[in-house]
Amino acid sequence: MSEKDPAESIRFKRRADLTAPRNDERDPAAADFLLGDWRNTNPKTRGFTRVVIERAGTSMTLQVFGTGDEGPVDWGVIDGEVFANVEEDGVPTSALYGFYDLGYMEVQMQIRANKGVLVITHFARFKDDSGRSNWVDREFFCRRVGLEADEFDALRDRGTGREARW
Amino acid sequence: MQHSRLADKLETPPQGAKELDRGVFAGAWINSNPDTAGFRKITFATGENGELECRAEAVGTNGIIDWGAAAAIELYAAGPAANRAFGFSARYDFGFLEVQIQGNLNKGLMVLATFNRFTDDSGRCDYFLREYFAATHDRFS
Repeated sequence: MSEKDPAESIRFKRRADLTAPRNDERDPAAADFLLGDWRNTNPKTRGFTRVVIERAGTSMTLQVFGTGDEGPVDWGVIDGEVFANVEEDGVPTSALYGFYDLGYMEVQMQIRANKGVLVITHFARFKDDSGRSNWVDREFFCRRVGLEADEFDALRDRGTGREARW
Repeated sequence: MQHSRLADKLETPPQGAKELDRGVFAGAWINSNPDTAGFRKITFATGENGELECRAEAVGTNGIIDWGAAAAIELYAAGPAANRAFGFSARYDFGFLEVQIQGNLNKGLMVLATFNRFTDDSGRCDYFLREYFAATHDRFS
């Protein structure tokens, strides 16, 4: 059974429910820092290489690319759900929830950003009979700053990759 | 064996379905923040039929609110070939509020995130909350 705050007559299941921002007070642009074309910070990832988050009216769309045997695999565009969030430093931000159903596998995406880094924690659940374990991982992304992957690799090999990327 | 990223690809197919070792998903995990307005404690136990149970206790305005048993509990390993649980997901549906829970381990802590969706007409924003929990143990006394 839920409780009701007698002053406000609204239901809640924990105190945080009482301090959630109101829809009519929320700045629609508060989640804009999630927008962009993001690239995995790990050039050797076997997970996602790229994430594209775009505005769609008052909401957002999400498109991820997985590493493939012969290049990136486009997982397609899905609707993302925007949630109000407060990061560890107390700054009000937003988080994004995405859900991919690829038939043989479902993946829940937990997406947030802090200090310019996009963090995606993804929970994969297999629905086939492959015997694979459901698994979870976390990856980090930064906005593309004009370098293609091979350009970054070349700069990195010359010892200037880090400076050039950031 | 289908895969949409290399990380899901296994060179050697597993020999049949297996159940993950629940490992640390047992007992009570306590919020590291004593001033939290979210969950105070998450407790894992084994049900009568051997199924994993998860129970959340939240901080209310006049004490602790027991959320009861969560639904749709799934365990996740650290990789598709791993056999030890490393994360979990679960759900609560209270009618006016739906809560999607995601938890994963990081250096001995459980990072617990909730996506909270209001389905009433209160006008509140859906919100995301992320907190840290530590397992209760009797080491380092």
